[in-house]
Amino acid sequence: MAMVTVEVEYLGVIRLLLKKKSDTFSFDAEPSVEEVVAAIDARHGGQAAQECFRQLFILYRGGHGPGQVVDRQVILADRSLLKIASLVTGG
Amino acid sequence: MSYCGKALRVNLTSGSINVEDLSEELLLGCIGGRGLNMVRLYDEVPPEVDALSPENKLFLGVGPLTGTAFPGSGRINISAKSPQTGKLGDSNAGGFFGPELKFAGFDQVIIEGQATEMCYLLIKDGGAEIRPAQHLRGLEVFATQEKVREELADPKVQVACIGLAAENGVKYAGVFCNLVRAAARTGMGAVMASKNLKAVAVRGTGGLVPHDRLKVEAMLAAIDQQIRGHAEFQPRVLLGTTRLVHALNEAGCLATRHFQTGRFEGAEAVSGEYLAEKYKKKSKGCFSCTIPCSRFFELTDGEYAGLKSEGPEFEGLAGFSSRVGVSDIGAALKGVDLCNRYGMDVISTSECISFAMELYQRGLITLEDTGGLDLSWGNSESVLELIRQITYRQGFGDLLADGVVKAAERLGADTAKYAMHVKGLEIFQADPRGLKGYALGVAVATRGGDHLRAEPSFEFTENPQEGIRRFGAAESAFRLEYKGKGRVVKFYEERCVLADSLNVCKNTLVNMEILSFAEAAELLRADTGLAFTEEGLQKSAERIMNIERAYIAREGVRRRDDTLPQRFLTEPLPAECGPSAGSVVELEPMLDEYYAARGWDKATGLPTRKGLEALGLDKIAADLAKRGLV
Repeated sequence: MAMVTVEVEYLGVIRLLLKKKSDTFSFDAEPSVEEVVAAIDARHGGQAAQECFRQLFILYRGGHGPGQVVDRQVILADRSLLKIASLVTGG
Repeated sequence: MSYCGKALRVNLTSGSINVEDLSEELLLGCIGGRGLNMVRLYDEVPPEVDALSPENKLFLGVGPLTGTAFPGSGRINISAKSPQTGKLGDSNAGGFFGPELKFAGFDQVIIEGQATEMCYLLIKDGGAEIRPAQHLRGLEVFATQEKVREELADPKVQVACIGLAAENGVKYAGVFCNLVRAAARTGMGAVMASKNLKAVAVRGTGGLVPHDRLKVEAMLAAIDQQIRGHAEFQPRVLLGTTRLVHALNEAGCLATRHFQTGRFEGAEAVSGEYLAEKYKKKSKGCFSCTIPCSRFFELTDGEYAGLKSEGPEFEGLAGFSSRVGVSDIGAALKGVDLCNRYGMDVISTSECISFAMELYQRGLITLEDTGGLDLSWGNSESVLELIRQITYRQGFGDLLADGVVKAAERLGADTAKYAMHVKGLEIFQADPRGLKGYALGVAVATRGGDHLRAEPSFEFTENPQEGIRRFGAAESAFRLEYKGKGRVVKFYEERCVLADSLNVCKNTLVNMEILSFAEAAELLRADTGLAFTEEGLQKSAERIMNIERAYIAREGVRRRDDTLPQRFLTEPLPAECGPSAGSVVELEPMLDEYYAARGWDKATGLPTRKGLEALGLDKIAADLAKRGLV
């Protein structure tokens, strides 16, 4: 079976904690958002992965817009772009 | 005790300076800061007063927690009748000025009249003097602060001042302290300038001794832990409000090209993340701050290399980038820096400029009107030139210097519908169609189109069970829904009143919802020794909201004025806005719910006599009755 590739773009606090703008992950099967975060944890560990579930997940199917907010159970297809962004909160 | 119990009253016409006692009843009833200022504003500035006349009064108010070890207790409220809106003027700044005023022995300063020549006020340890300031005329904000401190030969002196914009009569000029800490909304700087008052300098050596030190220390330690463990702590420390450029852009509601869309293709280049990675030197906080959300930056490349300053907040950053279509962060930071130095509100300035740019795009104004300025989206040179022209009231900038409402009136034709304001105050950098609680908050805000009067951030939680439990509607927890938002906004308005009257940072009290009314009452009892109760504090917050509503009602505000620009009510956000695409604001049902929650008349939006009297506002009820309003 072909590998599934997901690109993750980091925004907000995750980007500053990881000091990284993006990563590409490969999976044997279509992963859930939760499994992508587990992959981030495996690669980077530490506080950033823990912070992920406090952020907003925005999925760009096929890698382009318009993006949709998704929860951690959503399954990602090959060549998805997942952005992890700060929540909109008061400013 | 952490109240001083004193107000300083200065009359610039006669030169008289008096110290007045603040009664326990007054302090218990209106808490301090914003509450104290609003009581004075209603009582001492009746509707017939012209905002730029000597009869208008400027109130500087701090709260019972100002200058204490409570996190973020460095704020001050500056209030008057607004020359920008003709109604309620009130603005709030952080930094170190507020605490110094407390250390000098005052909870409030009342400035009346008009000096014959430019002056500044020096407040020092229980007294004050009016000093000549002709030599400060024409100085920018930073230079004024430096010069006054130099002249007084005391680096610990705190200075709140105006810049060139106020001196030149720009209606949305603010009052600035600690370089960029700005009470910028509603034109309080313009009021100060009308009084020929260039600055207020303050120095105090007194201390604040809590009534029950051990109890206060224990409570503050617990609050500190709550803050550090809060989900909002890391984002606010690392990025402050600048995180909102990407966050709102991804949500599809970042004010872009004057609200024509909610997605800005250049967001990354002007984002808080990019600023932090490339130019941030270190974090910066206010007095007694646990969440240092600001920053020092230095531009090291590009056309504006060498520019160094503090900030910016999201409102300035987005105001001079996405709102005007500029994707050069250097130019955006330069725009913010100019506003800070000249002493102008970044929200109103960016609205006036982006309004003009949309008119230019639509052919409603041409190069002939703009004096040859090309106002195409993204033309940062024109944006910066317009900031300068507004400040000096020259060329096309002169037309924009009284605010977007007046600009539209002068330009006529079909331009008024593009003016993005509520009750004469220009609105912020988020598209209300993507945040419906905020939309309602902006529509009903007592100082006009402003987001900091409510900040109903519960609508981002997406927790339907909590929505039902707290506000009786699952939908209230979702930003694109409208049900329940009337109750949400009422709740957050009162949190904002509490924050602004204690004069502490909204990061903690509003956005993190730390310090319940019960805890606030317990802390105030320990701090002041006065008999604060949870019920009493809640009633005070509601009372202050009603005083403000009564004040603007007396100035003519009704339900018809609690509205939003037509675009947000009828034009859906375009498809590119992803999660927010297709959204418009369902304002009327939210207004019905809001007035019901407030106990105000649904048809008119006016408070009722019974409601006012139940809050102990008998005098205001009688005043409104005399005017046929209740």
